[in-house]
Amino acid sequence: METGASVEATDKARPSGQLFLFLLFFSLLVGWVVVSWREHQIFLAVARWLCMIGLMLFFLALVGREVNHRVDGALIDARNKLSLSRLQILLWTILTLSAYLTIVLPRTLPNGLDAVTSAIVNECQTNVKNSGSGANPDEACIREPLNISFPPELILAMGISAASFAGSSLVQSSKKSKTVNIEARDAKVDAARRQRAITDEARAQKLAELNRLAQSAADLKTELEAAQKQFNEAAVDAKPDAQIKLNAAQARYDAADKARQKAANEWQLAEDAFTKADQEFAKIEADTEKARVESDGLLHKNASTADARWADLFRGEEIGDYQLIDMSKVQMFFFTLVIVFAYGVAVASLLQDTTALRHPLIVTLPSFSSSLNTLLGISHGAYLSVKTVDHTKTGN
Amino acid sequence: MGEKVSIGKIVSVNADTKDGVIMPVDETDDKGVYYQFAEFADIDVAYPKEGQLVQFVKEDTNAGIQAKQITVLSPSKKMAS
Repeated sequence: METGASVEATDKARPSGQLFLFLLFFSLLVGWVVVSWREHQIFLAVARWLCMIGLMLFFLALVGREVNHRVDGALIDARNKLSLSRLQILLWTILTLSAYLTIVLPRTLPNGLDAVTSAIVNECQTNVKNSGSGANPDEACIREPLNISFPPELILAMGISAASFAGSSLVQSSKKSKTVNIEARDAKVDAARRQRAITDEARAQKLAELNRLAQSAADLKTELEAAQKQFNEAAVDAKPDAQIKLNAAQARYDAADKARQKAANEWQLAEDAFTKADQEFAKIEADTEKARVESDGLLHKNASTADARWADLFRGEEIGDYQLIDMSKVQMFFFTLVIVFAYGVAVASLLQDTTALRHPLIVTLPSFSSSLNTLLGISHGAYLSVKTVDHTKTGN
Repeated sequence: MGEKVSIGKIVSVNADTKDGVIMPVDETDDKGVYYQFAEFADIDVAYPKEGQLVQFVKEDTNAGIQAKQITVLSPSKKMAS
């Protein structure tokens, strides 16, 4: 008989089994696509590349869903926020690895490469000799389906992203060990508490005044009723005197009623002011408590992965600025997006060059301007510099 | 001097049974205590409404302490009467 514990264990194991089946399915799909490329020429190279990107994204979505229960879970960091550094690392990784796989897989299949002609060998040997690397030209210039060359600019760009990711983690680690100075927040809570006490006091005074005037009006109403009764019961000759007394009682009551109405209105205003102050105090106190709970050192964290938002990519990271846009992040996002897109277009151009792809000795991925790397480096430098500075008062 | 008056707000009104409940606003004196009024005749308006500020006198009756001699003080008095 199956115990409760074993049932639970089976339930926990099930998602891993599903992941394995998915991976197996997509491995088979990739195999089918690769064979199709060579044997039947079903897809254009660019379409194959996009297909490869799609598969990698799907795999990431699967992993993210498995780990963080969200398709974008791979981008969520330890603070349950979507991370710009992770996005960059993934963009570069997917771009280069998918391009590498798209180029290299057909080359490893039979007849995947063009014949090594004497012209190609001669050119290769000349290049090896001129490079001064000391390599044997005969050994260096043989068929090499896996020889895909990554240009230094590309490696540098990926290195900058990786260094930025590592640097970002270091800065975050340092900020986690600091404590937030909550004096300012506590002062805000105290101010709201004082305001509530002031309005409460004012409300109590208005109520006391209203009580006094209401009591006075009630007493005068009793007098008025007595005067009315006296007037009704008065003999004819005493009527004028009773009428005078009745009129005086009526006038006193009217004045008291007017004062009571005014006091009632003033009390209502005081009551509204107190209600507003009370709500404000409750909100500030709740916000402060929330900030206390959501604080990870100086850094702001979400309670769960479900709270992660795409806006996190552009928001500050500390308690002091997480509700604001971090312009260094916005700048870095656009730089990365533009460079990755431009490089993607360059890769797509290469993928349409069948001669280059079937070159028996080497395929070199496109290079780009080193000044672009400088811009990327500046952007990452600004990002890390802004990140290094504390944007929250520390208690240290 | 007449009977002691209290200030409160009407928290519920039942138009069918012609009764309702008043909650005193003076929290120090009557915190959490509610007073029922049994007849609309005790109120100086024809149709009392929830939320209206009133003054009233507490009277001991067979049904317990009830609100009597109710006078509506809030601005909506004119609309209600």
